[in-house]
Amino acid sequence: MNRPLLRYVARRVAFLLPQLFIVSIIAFALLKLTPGDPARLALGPAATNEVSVQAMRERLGLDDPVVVQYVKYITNVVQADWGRSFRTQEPILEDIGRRLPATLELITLATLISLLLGASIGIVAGLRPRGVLNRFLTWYGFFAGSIPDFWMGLLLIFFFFHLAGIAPAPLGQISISTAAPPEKTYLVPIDALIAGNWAAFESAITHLVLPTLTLVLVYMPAVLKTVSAAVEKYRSEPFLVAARVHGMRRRYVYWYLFRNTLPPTITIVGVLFVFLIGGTVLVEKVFAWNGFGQYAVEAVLRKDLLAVQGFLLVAAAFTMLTYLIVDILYAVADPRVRL
Amino acid sequence: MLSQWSWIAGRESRLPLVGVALLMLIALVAAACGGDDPAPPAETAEQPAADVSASAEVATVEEEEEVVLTIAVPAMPLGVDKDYSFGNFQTFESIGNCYEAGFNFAKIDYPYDTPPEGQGLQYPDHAGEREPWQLLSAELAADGQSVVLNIRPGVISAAGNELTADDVVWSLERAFALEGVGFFYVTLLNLDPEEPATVIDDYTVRVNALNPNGLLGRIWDDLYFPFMDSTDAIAHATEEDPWATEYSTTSCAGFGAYTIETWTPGQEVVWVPNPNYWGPEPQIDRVIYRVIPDAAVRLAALQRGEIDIAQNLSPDQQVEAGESDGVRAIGVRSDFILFLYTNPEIFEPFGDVRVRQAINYVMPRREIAESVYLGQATPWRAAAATIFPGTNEEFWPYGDEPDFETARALMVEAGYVDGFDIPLSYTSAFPLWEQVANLVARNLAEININVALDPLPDGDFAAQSFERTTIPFGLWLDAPGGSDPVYNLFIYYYDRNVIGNFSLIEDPEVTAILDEAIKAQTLEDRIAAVQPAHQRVLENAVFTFLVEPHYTIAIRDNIEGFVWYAWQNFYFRELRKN
Repeated sequence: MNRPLLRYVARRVAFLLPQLFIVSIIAFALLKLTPGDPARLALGPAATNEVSVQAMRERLGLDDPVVVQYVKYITNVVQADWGRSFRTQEPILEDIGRRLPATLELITLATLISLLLGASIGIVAGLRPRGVLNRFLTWYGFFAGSIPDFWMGLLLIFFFFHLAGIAPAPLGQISISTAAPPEKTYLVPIDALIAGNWAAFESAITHLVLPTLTLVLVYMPAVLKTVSAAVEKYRSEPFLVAARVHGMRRRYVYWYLFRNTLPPTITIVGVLFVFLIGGTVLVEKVFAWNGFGQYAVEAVLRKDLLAVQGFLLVAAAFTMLTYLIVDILYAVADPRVRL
Repeated sequence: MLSQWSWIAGRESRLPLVGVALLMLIALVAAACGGDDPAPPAETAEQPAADVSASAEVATVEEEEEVVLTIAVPAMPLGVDKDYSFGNFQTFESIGNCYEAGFNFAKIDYPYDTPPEGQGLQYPDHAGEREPWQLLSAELAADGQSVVLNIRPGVISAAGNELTADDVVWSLERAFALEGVGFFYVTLLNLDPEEPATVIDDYTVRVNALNPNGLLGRIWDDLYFPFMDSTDAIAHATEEDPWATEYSTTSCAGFGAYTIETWTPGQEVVWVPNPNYWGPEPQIDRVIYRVIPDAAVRLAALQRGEIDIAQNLSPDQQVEAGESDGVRAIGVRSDFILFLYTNPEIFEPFGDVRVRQAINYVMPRREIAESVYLGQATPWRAAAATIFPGTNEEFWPYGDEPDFETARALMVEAGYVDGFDIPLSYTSAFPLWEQVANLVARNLAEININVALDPLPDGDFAAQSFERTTIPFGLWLDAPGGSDPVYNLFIYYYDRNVIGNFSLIEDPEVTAILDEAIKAQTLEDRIAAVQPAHQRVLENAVFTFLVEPHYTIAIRDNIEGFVWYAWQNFYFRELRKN
């Protein structure tokens, strides 16, 4: 890695903490502004009188001034105590630690497949802008763009599980009848491999198929169109014409073309990846995936403030890190970019 | 230019790329085809009748096989702490199966003509005798101020500890200390906070109230007033958590027939039988609560035989379940009540009883029951849940169909001839309620009450409803749980502070009636004593009474023994899987 790049990375990493700090303040303030008393909600119908409510308020630390509450919260966060969800009754960090890997597993696989398939087909389509494939892909793009991901998931479930009976039931990350491996990484296939539990491994992999396919079918067109458009643009650029007329070998010409499609591809994949971290919530719900997005939405709906704050912090950190990696890859792919 | 560069997309270079893409797609679909163990449809899973020897072999194997019951639920239970965990069906079921109550209702054949999905089932006899479970008897003192509980010897928890008088005392003290759900009961009974219970011997304990209270003799069938295994709980208590709330949230410290084997947050709870259970050994060896958030997926999994029970289906899904092979849609009259609360402290016109009566007169109860609930609800025509003793419809003043004329006259009388604008709030968690709200708004428009629909996120709606300071007009679903005639009125109408009085409307006369009624010791006396209160509540239009939704659930038809109980729960121990 060259020096300017190193400096750039160091600078961006150094900014991460203050950015997270600001995010935490904004998140805390916004959540405080929303109506409704979390103590009453935590008690529900058990909020029989003011004594109970007050006891719960004290238990949740809601009696302190807002600034004090924030200082206590952020001090605890730094000490890895993110509080306890009143909904799940589990420490927030444990909740997130259990659910984030499930979502990452799903979106990483979907993004990788979208990248490989989208880039491959996009290159072919871009080389023949008026070809049948390109026209088909244009229509497919419209089609995929108009179908919500959860609906695609339900369609796949209907055809592959309900009608054909060849896909496993969409009942989570592993079959009910298969003994789950001991939780170590919270990635079921990996945990199954560690435990040498092949039945669980097979079950986990097959359970990944339909949700992954759902995401790929819906979100791959974005990659595909970006690559196809880039290829279409660069294929007639003078530098490629010059390379060809100078007798350069075909594989080098391909390489130049490929290299030039990389920056927009990296950008779209980065954006897609960040979007999916919270954007898979409905797919997670349809497949009972018990993922991070699902956790966040339930927390928001039930006003589980500590859980929402935890989600926002992790999502913000994740977004910043992803964009940092995107910027670095962008710079590596395109030396003209100055960091 | 295009033709010049067309070689780049030539046949020799395009094929490998397309080939790779296709191969990946095929691999993906092929992986799907290798689904690990999709269950065969129920009809093909049966053994061929002709192969007798094979059937006998299979039967032998099956006898040794673990009987697993899989229940698809929309959400995890909120815990199994009797004092803190309260909220959804799954929590109620968990509390019931973990702890069980002192007594249980005797069962009778389903006593109603409707719905047809309830016919042939057993049903709790709310007015009948109680079966002794953990308690052999509860003898109310002549002054009605204390009750002596005789504990069944040999009631042992999964942790191996026997239920004794000490557990009763500890459970009541815990209820006072934690000020949660149990606190509601000890205050309802007006127990002595200094000495809520006195140990007489290991199996006998006296519970002490500060005033005469007939509920003392009846409350022990209530699912939310059970006894904890104090030895087990204390073993897991800490200095910061002396009542072991953390432990008992996800671990079962009760004496019920089942105990929790594993609790995976957000995903599943696995129940296994309590090996030391005092009663008959349950047939189901393992009950798996698997969270399947999407109702359509729960239904599909049930239809394919992947699961045994699907909870919380919508009315149309329930109908579809009933039409599916191998599935039985169950529906029974329940203690659910759906109503509108009208808070005069936020919106002044609701302070006029004539306005509240006018609203009651125009409600499309039958339409809600038939077109929204698809027959899975009954118009509510009483002040309390009609399945419980003491509630009847004889005082119902608002007719069977909307009466716009009477309502308009009342509005004119109240000085609201031009009506008013009002938002109607409800949770957005249930699409059904949007339909109910629409019908309500349509009919209210006929008397110039212009309703703006105000769906709120579930948490916000619940929090604001409990706060009672921001929502003037809300659509609320409730279920009292307890079957006692006094309790049923008390929790909604005793005064403005009680748990269910979302309207904040109180009537001193009703308070006085209930103060007297609570002292009555026999069921008959209690029923008689509360009748005037029923009438006053209805005339006072404390709520806008809508419908009583039925309890519905869909099960595979090889499951027998399902009995619904008033906390919208059932006991795993009563189920049998063939």
